[in-house]
Amino acid sequence: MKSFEDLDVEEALEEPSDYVDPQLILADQRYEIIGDILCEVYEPGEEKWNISDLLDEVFLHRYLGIPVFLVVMWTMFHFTFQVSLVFMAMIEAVFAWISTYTSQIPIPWLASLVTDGVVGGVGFILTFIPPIFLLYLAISVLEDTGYLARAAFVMDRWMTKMGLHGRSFIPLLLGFGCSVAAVLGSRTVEGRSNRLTTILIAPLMSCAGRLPVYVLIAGIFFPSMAGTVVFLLYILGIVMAVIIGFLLKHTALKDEISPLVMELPMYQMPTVHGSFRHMWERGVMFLKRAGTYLLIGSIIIWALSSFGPAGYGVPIADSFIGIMGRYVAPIFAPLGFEWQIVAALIFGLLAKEVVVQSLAIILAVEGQGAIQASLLALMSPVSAFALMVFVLLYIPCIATMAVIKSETGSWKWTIFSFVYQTFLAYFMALAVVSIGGFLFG
Amino acid sequence: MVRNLDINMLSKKPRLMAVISSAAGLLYVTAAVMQILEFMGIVSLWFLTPDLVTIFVLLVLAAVFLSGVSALRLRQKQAIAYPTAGLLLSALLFLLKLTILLTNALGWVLSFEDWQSWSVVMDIEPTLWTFPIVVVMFAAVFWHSDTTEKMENRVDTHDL
Repeated sequence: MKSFEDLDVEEALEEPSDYVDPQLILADQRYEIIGDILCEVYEPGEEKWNISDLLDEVFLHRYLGIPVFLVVMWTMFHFTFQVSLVFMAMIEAVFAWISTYTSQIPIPWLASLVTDGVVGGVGFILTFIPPIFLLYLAISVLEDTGYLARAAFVMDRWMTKMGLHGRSFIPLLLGFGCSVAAVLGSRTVEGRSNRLTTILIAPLMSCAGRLPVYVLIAGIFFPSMAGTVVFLLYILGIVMAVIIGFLLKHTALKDEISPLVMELPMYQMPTVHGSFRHMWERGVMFLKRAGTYLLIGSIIIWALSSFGPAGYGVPIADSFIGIMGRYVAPIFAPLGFEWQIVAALIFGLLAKEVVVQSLAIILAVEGQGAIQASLLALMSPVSAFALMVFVLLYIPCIATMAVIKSETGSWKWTIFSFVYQTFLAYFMALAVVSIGGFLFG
Repeated sequence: MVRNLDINMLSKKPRLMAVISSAAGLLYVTAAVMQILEFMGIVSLWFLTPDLVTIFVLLVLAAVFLSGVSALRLRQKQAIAYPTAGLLLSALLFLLKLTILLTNALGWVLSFEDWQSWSVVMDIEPTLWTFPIVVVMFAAVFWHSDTTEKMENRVDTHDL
């Protein structure tokens, strides 16, 4: 590899493999030209800094950068969880009021369908609109300020040390919103193996679809520190992504690391209009899903919970969903998951929101009271945390798998993605149960 | 919208800024130590919460404020970045806690079940009460700096 001083740009771009990364050469030349122009037209005056220079001194600091990033991330998730609680209670109260009327429908199966299926399923999932919208609002504000680009820059040093490509962090950040977007965003990563690694680890980032599960479970089992638990799960997702990326890059997907070259935008004061517009554009997708396939899913789950081989009105354990759940439940017995949880996890393969929706319907059809009390009776706090870890790490949804297939063009990698995530989720959940059981009895 | 800042305006008294940054940093260190004692059950004070993450947050804030102190003492103007970023982060956390307090108050006013036993004291924690103290300290520096400058200008005018 030749040194920087010996560089000839045109020659280097023609034969980049003999030189340092071409992007570095281009960036270096671009800034040299900018410097020349500035020397000709700019008269240096009194020393002035702008806010971006000031803040970057700290936010991009070698040692303070990552702790500050963690504080900002914690603030985002704490805001998302704690502020949304009262608005969730409002929506819950509205649906509770609606269900008092729908439960009085004279035809029993129709009353059950509307109350337990539609209101209990879609209505319950709609109570999670506030945290999802607030998470999107927080991400929009961070994006609009210009901090998210700095986050990628700060994480680059750490990720490069682990053998990952610096640009991988940008699609991984998109994964906080939606795993499909994260996998598609990996197109910006250079090099086949770098891109493939990013595609394979992107689903480990916790998408907004998983948030209802965390909010529900953490709110019930860890009420005093729910925001912190949700934050820790997001961090766990990042850590697992980095570990898996490290393993892949040092085994099956070895490739030369290329440096991250990115221009950091100036810090901006986010506008209320801009941030809320971004929040609405992203959040409305969730509303559309709730109004379409989550509604259809509710009806299907209700039907599977209410009907069995013996017809309508069988005990839920003998319903189709009960049979399916009990068939698979022994595999999850070491994790402390009852068949109701297992059935919800199976439906969660369609989309993560469906886990919560399925649980609400199954417990409602079963005739249980409030979902909080039912879940407290179904599992221990350690198993509840294991459930959140499992939901974090197993495949996000069928749509993500389809995008992985289209982006990799390979069934082999798609199946690998499914298999490794399922095993990873299972063994990490098992580790939580084992360690938790040892520590807390 | 990024306004250019005249660094001289912000750091007219770098040594005074170093003192104030040290004081702010020590305030956050003290709050973090009190939180640790609260977490360990050694003390039980109404303005603390036994939360490990809050301890980490307070220590990061302390580190940001204290990192710039030695450079400020050496009159390095760019070190003003540390108290500026520290103030910004403190403000962010203060706003977060204030918003949580207000939404909890809303839940209590609407008499929702989960907020029946809520009281304002439950939401008082170090990131909420440290920020006003830090703001007052920095405001005092600016006020002192501004007053001193005006007096110096007045003396200069009088001399002329």
